[in-house]
Amino acid sequence: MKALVPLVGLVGGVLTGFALFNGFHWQVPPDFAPYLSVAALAGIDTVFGGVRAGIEGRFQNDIFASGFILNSILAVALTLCGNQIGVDLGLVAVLVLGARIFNNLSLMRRFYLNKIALARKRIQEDNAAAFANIPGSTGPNG
Amino acid sequence: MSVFSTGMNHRSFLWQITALCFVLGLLMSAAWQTATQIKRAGMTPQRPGFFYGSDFQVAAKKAAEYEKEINKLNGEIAHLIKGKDAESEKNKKLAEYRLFAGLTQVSGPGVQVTLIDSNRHNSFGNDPLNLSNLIHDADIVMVVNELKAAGAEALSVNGERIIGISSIRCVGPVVHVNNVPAAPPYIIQAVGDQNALFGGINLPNGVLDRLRQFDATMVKVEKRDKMLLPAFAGGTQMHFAHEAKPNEESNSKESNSKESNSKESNSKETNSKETRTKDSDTRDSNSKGSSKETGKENSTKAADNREARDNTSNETTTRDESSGTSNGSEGDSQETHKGADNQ
Repeated sequence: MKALVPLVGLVGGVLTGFALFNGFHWQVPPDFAPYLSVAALAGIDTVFGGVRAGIEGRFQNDIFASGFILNSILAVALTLCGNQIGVDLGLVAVLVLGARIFNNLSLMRRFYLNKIALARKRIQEDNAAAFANIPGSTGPNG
Repeated sequence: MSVFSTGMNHRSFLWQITALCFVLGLLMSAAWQTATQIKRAGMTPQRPGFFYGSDFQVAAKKAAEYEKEINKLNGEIAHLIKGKDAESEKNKKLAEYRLFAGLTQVSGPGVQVTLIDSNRHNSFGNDPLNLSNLIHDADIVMVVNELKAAGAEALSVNGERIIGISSIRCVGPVVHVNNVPAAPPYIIQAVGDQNALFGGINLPNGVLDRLRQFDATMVKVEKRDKMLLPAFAGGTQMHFAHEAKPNEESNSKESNSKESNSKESNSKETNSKETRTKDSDTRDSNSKGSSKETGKENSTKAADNREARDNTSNETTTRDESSGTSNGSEGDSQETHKGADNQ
């Protein structure tokens, strides 16, 4: 259930944002809309990267924080630069960050699948060792 | 899931992710809001006009307040005119001019033309400049013009009084009447001779034919026995135009009749009033052809501007023209003739 804490944070952030933007009529100038989207994408990427590093046990908060900030800045800068020279460089950021999100998700998926498979195997082995005579008792425990 | 509850640094890792998720949520909601606003405003992000939505609301509120004030002051003026000096000549004339200028509410019989956008799809694609299923500013202008030609004495479009300096023009998706946005259905009300107006607006090959050919439901013309037209609500102050100083020749005709009993400074005013009064007098007797009246007035003035010795002949031509153009204008030509006699 501790895994839901970041989700709660996300929902809280969204709600706070809506409250601020609707309640106090804050407005982001529409010219900045693309940068905001790219920055949000960088944020999503960092979260996925952080979760992956966390479940792999290699989480380091300095890498995490600096990655978030620098990725966002680079993505926004690319978009800005692209706007200036007439090439949609924002797509580069979208492409790379999107690919990384999928990559991270797939790594997380593999990690859990491996874990489950390992656990099942271990249980199977344990069961096999403990109840060598009763093979039918292994099934539903996985 | 078990991985979250084991290990040393998971607590800080979770909290950091949570903090970042919070920031991410803020970012996402901001992006969402902006995108929604852009979608709602129907504009690309590059349009700077998008910023000023709230400014516009404030301005609209102010405008409504000012309009209220104008109406109030107009009401006061009307009250004062109707007050103790109601019988005096000056006030009577003032009331007449105000009626003529469209600064008072007007009621009377007439014709109401309703123009509505068609639900049918356009057959020529979606070229915004060629959408024949929509009512355009030009359609309204043409209807108004036709009603004027048919003798309308007072006109309004969607509650905006049409006066001499009124404008009807296309501003993006809406039509501005007197610089006030108007939305379909466009209701054009004209006070005047019902039959003349009805006939004029329904002329074969007339202004409404294009609309009717596309979709007959776009146009509705009905005779109304009583309509209430609002006063002109815009500003009436002149900043650049002021009354021209008439030269002696043009002045001579009417000033001769008046000079004996009025001051020199007053005579200029009385002159113009005189002309206008005549015009509005004949307007009552002659329901047809307000534009013809104006034309006559112009020609009369043009005649005035010439040498005094030519005056009589010019007046005669004016009279001939007027009697040629409309049947009911005899009263007017007599008036003009009288003016010539006064010389």
